[in-house]
Amino acid sequence: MNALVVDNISKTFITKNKKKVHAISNTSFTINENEFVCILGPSGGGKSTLLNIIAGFEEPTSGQVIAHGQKINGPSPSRIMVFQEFALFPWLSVLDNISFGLEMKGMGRAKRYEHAKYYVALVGLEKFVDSYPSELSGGMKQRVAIARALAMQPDILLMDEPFGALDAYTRENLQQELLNIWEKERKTVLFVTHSVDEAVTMADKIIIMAGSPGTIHNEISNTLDRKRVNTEPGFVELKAQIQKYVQSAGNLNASLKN
Amino acid sequence: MELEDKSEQGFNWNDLERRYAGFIIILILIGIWELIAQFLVPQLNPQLSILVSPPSKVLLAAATTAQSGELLEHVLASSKRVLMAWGFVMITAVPLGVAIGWWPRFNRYVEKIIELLRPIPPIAWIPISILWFGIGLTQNLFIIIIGTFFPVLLSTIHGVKGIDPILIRAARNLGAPPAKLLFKVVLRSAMPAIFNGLRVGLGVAWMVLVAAELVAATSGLGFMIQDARNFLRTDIIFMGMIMIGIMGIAMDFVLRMAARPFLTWYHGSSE
Repeated sequence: MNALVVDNISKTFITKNKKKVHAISNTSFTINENEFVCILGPSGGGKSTLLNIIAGFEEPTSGQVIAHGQKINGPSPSRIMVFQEFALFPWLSVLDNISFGLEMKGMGRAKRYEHAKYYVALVGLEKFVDSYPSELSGGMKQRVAIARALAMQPDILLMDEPFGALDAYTRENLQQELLNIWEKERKTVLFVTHSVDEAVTMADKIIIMAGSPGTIHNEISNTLDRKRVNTEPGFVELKAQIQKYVQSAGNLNASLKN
Repeated sequence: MELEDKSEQGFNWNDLERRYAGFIIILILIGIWELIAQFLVPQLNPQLSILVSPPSKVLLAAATTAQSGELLEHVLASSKRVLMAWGFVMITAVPLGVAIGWWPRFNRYVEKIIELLRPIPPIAWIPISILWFGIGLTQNLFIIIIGTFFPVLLSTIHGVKGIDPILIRAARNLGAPPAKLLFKVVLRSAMPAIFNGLRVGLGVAWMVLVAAELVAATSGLGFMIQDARNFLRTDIIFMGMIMIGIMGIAMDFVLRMAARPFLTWYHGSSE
């Protein structure tokens, strides 16, 4: 069974001055179990809206999203979002942030802390269990958010430009760490980015989304061996190919507008 | 680098100055006040000297009224009123503010009435409240509640409305049902603002208490200074005024200490 089926989704907003804005039109794709999929495209192309619909935060105007055979209907711990802005609870310690969802599940304190500690170790923050988010760097905050998401053992991890607010060095580190975790935990990941490099580094499958309203232009499977290095010929070649697609997607939109 | 390390010296003027600068000014001003009241005013006009009691006499008044138990009685009477009214506001204005901040629909119904009542100064309620409740505890409490209610209410609304929507998304995503969302996320997030409102409210409570006691009480610090006016006891008036200040500081301090464990996350980064 597919982990996720996005079936002909369109989304239209009505703005405050009653104008219609088409954010997404007729978008369909599927994601397989344990696949790492990147949605790649320029800002304002409807990527985040699409992810919010898949998370259940927003409803599509038409179409449907099916997760593990079930039509989605609102947010669910089986599809956990990792936000660019981290979205940690500032009044909770690292451990309590990671345990929050487990507490909501009704898990007792001792049990949820024990469970959470596994994920603290997974993201390498053992020394910071009692720290508050305000005491952590951006990279550490995002590790906490990733641990909090994984602790729920979701079917699918949704990541909305999760490393977009981090410096280049931290970003590369976290990309590698996320890949290591992904190989260890074997999760389905849907990862939104506007960086071609990031998409080629991370994804099994790259979905190029562009335009206004945003829609899917290409799906490219990335079969480069894992532990990818961005100077290898294969990497460079794929990156060039994707850049061409992104460009033509942009041109297509420009011509549509004219 | 020419920075000298003075921390090894036993006696450090810089350190002393930093810590006690504010108190030094107070002591100097008290000294000047003493000199003026003792020597300058009697020379200018001996009849005026009764209007400016020197700090030594104020201190003496504090000692005598403390010894007779009168001071404690007034302090307790005022504190009781402040705490009763403030406690009442805490259990009414905070829940109301949360409801208004959290449910836009509820807000639509009550917004206008709050806007209308809020600008009326609490003191403007004194005449009607005396007619309604007479002179005494109920009237005093009514006035303090009116004065304290709005700062607490508005801070609470502000705190609840100000929650980052992404935290609500995250919490719902992690499976928080509506009640837990309200208590474990919204209320926690609004805590600094609510606490700030309660602090401001406590200060306002003392202000309006004194106003109420000046005209409609037979005990309390406000009554004490009003009563002393009739006997031209300016020493007691000054003493009472200073006492009101001290009580305000003391209650604020206790409140801050009590709230500290709940707000470490908030102060941790700024302190």
